[in-house]
Amino acid sequence: MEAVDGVRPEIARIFAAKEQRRQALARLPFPAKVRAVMQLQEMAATIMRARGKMVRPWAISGSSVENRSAPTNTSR
Amino acid sequence: MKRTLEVLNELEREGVFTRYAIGGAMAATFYTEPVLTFDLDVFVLLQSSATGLVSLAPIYDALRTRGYKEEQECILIEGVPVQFLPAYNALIEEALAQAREIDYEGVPARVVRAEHLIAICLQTGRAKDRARVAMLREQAHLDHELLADILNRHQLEDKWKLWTE
Repeated sequence: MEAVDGVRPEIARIFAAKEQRRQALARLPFPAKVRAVMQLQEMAATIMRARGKMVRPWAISGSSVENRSAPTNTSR
Repeated sequence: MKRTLEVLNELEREGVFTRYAIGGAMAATFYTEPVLTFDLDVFVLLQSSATGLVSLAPIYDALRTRGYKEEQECILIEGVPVQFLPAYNALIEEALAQAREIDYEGVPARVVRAEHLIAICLQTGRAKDRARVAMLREQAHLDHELLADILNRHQLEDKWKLWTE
């Protein structure tokens, strides 16, 4: 891979791989994407709660978060 | 989310609203990589009351009867905070009418088409809408003829040029 706009080839390869990963994620079936969104919610909620912003990841029956205790407030 | 969609289908069958379709970030996620959101936006076509006013009260009443609780501007249906948005203009009405029929683990549902999502983002015009348009352009398989037609009919071509050129 050649350097593009001053980007070194190894960095360009990383960018290309990231782009491929995003395209692969976009091709996932919708239920798999919903599960990924729920994982993102869990990850983000930890950070957001630490900043004082209360959010509630989805508590869908059968999911790993089903029995999680709910926060007292939500924010979107 | 399967059970949430089943409840939405029940409400539609019972005539609580005429038609629904998933919009917002979850609809975008149908076409793109997963994006973080904490609620499920659902566009609904409602029957006008005798006074001509459109109200979400019948939806909230029907859901309260089923034991679901309100949380700020959402109502929590089977663990998912759902925000109902009545079709507030011609573009949303069209997006609802032409929404894509999907199957979610055996449950039928509707998702706003990617081309209508783009038009709605252009119309709404926030920074996150601009980011969503960029992502849909990159990752969704768009029908460019349909998109051009929608943008033309809803006077959104100038905004599209501004955001994409």
